[in-house]
Order: sequence, then C-alpha cells, then structure tokens
Amino acid sequence: MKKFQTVCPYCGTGCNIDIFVENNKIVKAEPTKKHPVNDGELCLKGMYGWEYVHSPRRLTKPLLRKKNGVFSKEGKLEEVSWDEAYEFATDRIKATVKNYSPNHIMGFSSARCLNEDNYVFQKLFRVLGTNNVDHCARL
Amino acid sequence: MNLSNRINNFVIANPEVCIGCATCMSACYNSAYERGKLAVPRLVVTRTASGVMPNQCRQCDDSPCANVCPVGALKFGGDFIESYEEICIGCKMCTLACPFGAIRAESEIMPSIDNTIVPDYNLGLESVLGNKSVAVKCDLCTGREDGPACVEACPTQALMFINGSIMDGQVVSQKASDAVESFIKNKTA
Amino acid sequence: MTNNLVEFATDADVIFCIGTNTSECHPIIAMQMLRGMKRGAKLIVIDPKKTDMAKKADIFLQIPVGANIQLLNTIINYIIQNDLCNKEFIKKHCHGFDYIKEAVKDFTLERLEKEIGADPEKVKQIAELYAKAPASSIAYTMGITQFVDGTANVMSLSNLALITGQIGRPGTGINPLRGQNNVQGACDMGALPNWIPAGSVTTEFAQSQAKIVWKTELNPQPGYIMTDVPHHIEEGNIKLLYVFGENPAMSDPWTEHFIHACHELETLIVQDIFLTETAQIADLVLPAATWTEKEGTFLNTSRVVQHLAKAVEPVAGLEPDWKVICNIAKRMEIAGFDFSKAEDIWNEVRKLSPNQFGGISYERIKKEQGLAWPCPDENHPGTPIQYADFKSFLPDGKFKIVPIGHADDEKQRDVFEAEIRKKCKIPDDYPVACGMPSAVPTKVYPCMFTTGRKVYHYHTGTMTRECKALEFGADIMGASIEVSPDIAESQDLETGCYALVENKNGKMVAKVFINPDLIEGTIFTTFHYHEADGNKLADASQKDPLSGMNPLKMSIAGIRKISEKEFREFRIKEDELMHPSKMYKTVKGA
Repeated sequence: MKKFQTVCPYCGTGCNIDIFVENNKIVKAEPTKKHPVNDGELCLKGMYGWEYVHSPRRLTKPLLRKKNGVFSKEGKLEEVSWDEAYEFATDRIKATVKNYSPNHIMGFSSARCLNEDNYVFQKLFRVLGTNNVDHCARL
Repeated sequence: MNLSNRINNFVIANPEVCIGCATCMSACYNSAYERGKLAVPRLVVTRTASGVMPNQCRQCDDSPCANVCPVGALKFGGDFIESYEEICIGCKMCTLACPFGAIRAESEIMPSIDNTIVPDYNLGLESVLGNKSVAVKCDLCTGREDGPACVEACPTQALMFINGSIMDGQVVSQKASDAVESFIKNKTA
Repeated sequence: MTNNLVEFATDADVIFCIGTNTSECHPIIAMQMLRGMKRGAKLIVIDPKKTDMAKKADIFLQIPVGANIQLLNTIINYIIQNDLCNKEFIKKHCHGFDYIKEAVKDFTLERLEKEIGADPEKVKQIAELYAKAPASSIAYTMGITQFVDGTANVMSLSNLALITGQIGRPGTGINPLRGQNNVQGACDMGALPNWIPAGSVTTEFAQSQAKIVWKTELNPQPGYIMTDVPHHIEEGNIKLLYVFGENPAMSDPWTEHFIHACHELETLIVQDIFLTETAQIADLVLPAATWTEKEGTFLNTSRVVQHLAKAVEPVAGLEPDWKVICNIAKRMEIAGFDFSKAEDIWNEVRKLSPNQFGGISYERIKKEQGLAWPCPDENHPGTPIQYADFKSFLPDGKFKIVPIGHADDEKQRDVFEAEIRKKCKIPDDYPVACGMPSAVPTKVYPCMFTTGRKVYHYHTGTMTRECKALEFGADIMGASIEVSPDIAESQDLETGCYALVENKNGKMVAKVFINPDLIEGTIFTTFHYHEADGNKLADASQKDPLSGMNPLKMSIAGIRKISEKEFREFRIKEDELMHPSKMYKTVKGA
C-alpha cells in the first residue's frame, strides 16, 4: 500500500489527506497527522468523498453530438476518437473567432480544478484575444 | 453488594463539542458495509432546539429490546446487546420498546444498485420499495479491529467509547473522589 | 482571508460569524473555532438559521434573510456613539471616517428592533464584545455575498473591522471562508473577466507582463461576467461556450433560463469527469483526469498554496484538464502551450506574477506544508497575516471606510448615494454603496426562499453522490424542502408530506421537513439534488451592481402541499429537462 499526500477537493479549508493506494485503486483516506490546517482530523467528505474517482460512470471517451454520422444539433451524443474531438473543438473555436470575433467565445473555468488547469484555460482565451473567462466563484 | 455487576460497553457523544458534521454516520455506514452488515448508519445525527449530537444505542444492561425480541435477533451478549440482523423478522417491537429511538427498521439499498437504472430508490418513495425491513442498531462495530469507527472518525472527539468493566473504577470512583475532595476543601477553606 | 484559519483556534478572542453555517459547510474550520472556544474565545453567530454553531454561541442573533446592512450599520453606529472606536488606527490608517459617521447616524437600536425585531441588548453586547476584545475575527460566507447588495455587505464588515482596528494582527481580520477548494486559486490564476495573475487587465503592469511572458497583446477590455452570459447568448454576443469542471445547468440561478440559452449557442463544449446535467446538452464532451489522478496545486481559503500528489493512474489513459486545453491550443498552432508537467505551468505563473508567487516553488510548498502569498522571493516566509504593517494595497497605503446606506429599492439607493456624496463632499472616485432587498414577500409568493448546503453533499452532487458513505451513509434525509413551523401551520404541511415550491423563475418538488431552526416565514433548500434543485427558483434578473452576483440567498416563493401522484408526475417531467440523454435517465418510464 502506497501513501500520497494530497489536498481535499471539496470546501476551501484545504485539509491535507493521506491517500492510500493499492493496485492503482484508492483504498482509504486518512487525515495527514500534525498538518497545520487540519491537525489529523477530517470531516466526512474528506474521509469518504473519494469513491467517485473509481466510479464506473466516469467519462472515458469524448462524446460528440451526431446524427447519421455527422455533427448535428439534433443528434445524440456519440463516442468519438480524441482526434475527431480535438479537430471539432479547434475548428469551432477558429470558425467562431473568424466569423464573428474573439469576444464571441466565452469560457467557464472552475474553482474545483487545479491552479494549473485554470491558468492554462484562461491563458488560451487571453491569447485568442478575449477576456471572456469567468468561473463559479462569482456565485 | 457482592453480585457480579453487568455493565455493558457503549458509545455516547458529548453534545458540547459535537458540531453535527455527520462524519460518524459515514464512518458507521462504511464499517457496516465492510463487516457485511446491512449498510446503513446505526447512529443518526439528531438536531433539536438546544443542540445537536448523534443518537445511538445505549446498550442498556436490562435492555427492553432484547427482552421483547421474539426470535433472539437482539440478544444479551457478554458486554453489549448483540444484534443478528439475518434472523430479524422485521416485527418492529424493539423499535417501539427502545426508549431512546435508537433502533430503526431499515432496508438496505444494495450498493450494487445503480440509482440511474433502478430509479425508484432515487425518488424516495418508500411505498414502492418493497424490501423487508430489518432492525438495525449500534453493535459497537463488532469484528472491527480498532473498535467503533465513529469514535475514530469524529473530528472534534465528541464521541466516546465507554468500557463498562472499567467504568466503575475509572469514571465513577474518580469523579466521586474529585467531588469529595473539592467538597472537603471548600468546607475547610 | 486576511488571516490564517488556524488563528481561530490559537489567537482570536472573539469570533464573529455572520451568514455562515460553519459546522455544515466547513466542519474543520468549525473544529478550529471550537478549539478557540475551549481556550476561552467568545463566539458570536448572526444568521437567519439557528445553526449548530448558533446553538453553541455565546451570543446568537437571529435576523431575517438579507438584513445584514441594517444590523452592521447599527453596530457601527453604536460603536461610534459609545466611543468604542480605535481612534488611533482610524487616524493613522484610514480615510472616510466622517463619511461613515454620517451614513450610519440614523441606524439606532430602536429602529433596528422595529425593522427586524433584533433585541437591542444583544446587539449592544455584540458591538461591545467585538470592539473591546484584544483580537476579534470576522468569518463570513455566502450569507453575506449572495445578495444584490453583497459587495455592500462585505464593505460593511470591512468598515466594522477598520473602525475598531481589528485587522493586521493575529486572530483578527476579515475572513471569507471559501466554499470551494480552489476559489482563491481560480481567481488568482485569472479565471476572471477582468483579471490575469499579474493583476487587472486594465493595468499597465498586467499589459506589460502579458507581453513579456505570453508574448501577446492583452485585450484591455474586461470580458463578460458569468451571470450575464445567458443574456449575452440570447443577444447573439456569445456563439461558443467552453465549460470546464462546472455544472452551470444546476448551479446557476434560474437554471431553466441558462439551459434554454444554451440551445441557442452554435457550440457548447463541456469538459468534465461525469456526464453532468450541463454535459448532456453539450455538442462536444471532453473527459479529463480527476483529483488524485494528476499533480498540481490548490490555494486554500487562507491563501496558502498547497501541493497535491498524483496518487493513481488516470482511468482509460485520460489526461489532466490542462493537458487537454494545451492539446487544443497546439492544434490551433498557438505558441506558449508546450508544458510537459504541472510544475512548468506553475513556474510560468511565478514569472507572470512575481510579487505574489515568485518565492513559492513546488519544492518549498512540499517541504514547508504550503506557503501563503504574497511571497516574492525564495527566502520570503510567506504572508499568513495580511496588512500586518497596517498598509492597504492602495497607492497611499491607507484603508478606505466606505459609507453604506440602506434603501427599499433601486431608486432610493441612487438617491442615497447622490445625497451622501453631496452632503459629505465625497470625491467621485471614492466608493459609496447602499444595501437594498431584492425581494419582498407578496400575496402570491408569501415566503422567503433561501438556499444552502448540507454537510454530506457538495454543490450539485456530481462527486459526492457517487460516494456511498455520503449518499447512503450520512444523507438519510435526501432532497427535502425545509420550512419554518409557521409556514407549515398556515399551509397545512407536515414532515414527510410532498410539497411544491414555486415562483416566477421555476418550480421544485420534494418532501417537506419542518425545521424549527429557521426564522419565521422562511423556506430553505439545497442545490445538491438534480431532482430538487433550489437554484431553479433563484432570481437571476437582479444583480449586485459591482460584482454581478445574483441574489441566490434571497428570493420569494409560494408553497403548497401536493399528492404523491402529482409529485411523481412532476419528477418525471423534470427528468426530461435535466437528463435528455437516455443513458442517464433517473426515472423509470420517462
């Protein structure tokens, strides 16, 4: 069993959690002892809120709305390859910027994701020439 | 009196430091699940106008539930009231007899059941569930190496495990001598 | 937070909690507060709900939803009138004391008692306790911010701290308890329409940093704020929306409006770990690795950068969110996205915002168990307490005390602001604010409707409802509508019956739970359950003039009992809207 120190993904307290892993599966979570934030204690979400990581309902493949094999607003979400997904995403972003303006795209970033994720996301929008980035903290 | 005392072990919370975070309930669920018991919490964080604390079985020494159970699903054990969920017939007499509201008639939602496929569970409509109910109560996490899971999980140390056999020596007589000491001190001061 | 959360346990003499259900939303902070109380700290709780912390408080004051400014102005007025101010601090470090004196002068204890029924004795005790204690700390959450006057509420709290000098020392300060693990981080990283890590997009520094580090011209025009997005989509100003790690179809106020607007987009891209309610209406869904499957950093409520180790390999070979975004950028042939690991990204942040993050390296945060910004260089110890030198971020280093009034509506608000500016000769660039209610109960919608969290779930439940110990262990109540006893009586409701709550924004159904902890005339519900989402009823038509926040905590609604049959029918219809994808139907036969 291997131990990894991480930070709780729920509220803003920032409790440190020791995650114990066996065969690439989380088996338990324990509060990090003597940590300045949570001093060896955790609430229920920190202690038991990791099970979703191994949920069989996790998304594993990109989905694209398709009808008769091509993208259509009336279609249903179908599994596609990463290549196709990336191509669709880049084509649509490029087309929107070209046909309208950079300010016609908008991004919702996330207060639940890493600093690094947020940084890269907003950088993409800024480099494209728009400041249309916001996230759920406003709410 | 020379009769050998029967004082059961039990778990109890201190409402002064309980913050009602329900970590104990999750820990309890998890312990029950791991021990192959009906996977439901056996203690319930209960809010009243004056405060909050988890409520659970007090392991009464002369317990009304064990006395009333017709099939021996609740039974006087060595140092607590044992529960055998597999033979419970769901008569609910213990639920009525318990003065603490610490025994509930519960039916488990099987962990394998997917909310999205078996939707009625998700609707919260008990009337259409149709599962047999079983009496569940705190069994002090029998079979768990580290003792009651709730006590271990509580972040504010509100939950305590009281060992009946040492209660007399450690809890009662200590308090008694403290009380007498302070009484005499105050009097002579 | 201006201070570190552990100071509740170690330093604060008075903990002033307003609009926060700390024990349910931040149990470990509540634990730290309890440790403080054991040391002898006094706890003040002000809330419309008699929360678990309220029951432990030395003083608990129950106020109606949205009465914060009336109360805070009265406390400030009492402090001024009774000479409890920290005159030296005001003189040395603050502007605008005369303005606030004028703004609060009519907020008397008698008036407060008449308007919101607050016991004058208690208000006096609160004012004295807070002002006189050696170190008083303010803690607040969404019960302060989620109103049309949220910013004014926050400024009122800062006024209170400034006139008493309760800032810059251990155990003092103004401490918003962040609701999400990385709110602080997402803001600091520039996921805001007016902000990049180097500061506001309008500043020269941000512009030049963008040029140096990103090699790009930064658009100086701030972007759209989130709460305006449905409107902008309908107006045709937004054609493509890229949502990542968020479920606005459930979390945004007036959810129906948002979902409706999304159908008018040309492209909706959603990047998430589950097929959320938002993902189900998307055109393209991109999966990504989740927490514990990637390395990185979070910034907690005390501004501490903490390190997360990667613990497991991602399912199905998924890549972290940042990598997915980089892949898109690279395909578009945009330079500057060649990051090979999370640490590279962090090091670019340090370059972009050296004053704030320059000294915070991965190596240091791992070794030192986190570091609080600002931390400009490798030898800097970090800043757990802000304003320790009693200097603000403004050019002259002084703090501004903002005059704040209270009005009945928008018109009166403008009148107040104009009048006080004239009367006190306040310069145009000096802030002035005014509170007002966003909703007043009517005959049709006679109840106050407010929302909040339950300890066992988190926001839209995307993650927590996948965890058995939470969903089946701690959450034995499920989705419910909590009503105050007077509503139950007048509407003939009992615990366990079904009810429909509705207003002009939406409807929801759930089981009723009569909660005597709620203040008279109030309905409370959560936003954890897709089957009963309180945000459906939230008012999105009104906004805080400064932050754009909608009054999620303050709506009006009507409630009536319904039969089990009606309940079932409603749920099935509801499911059609929330889960159009067949794979994820939650109701049989729908």
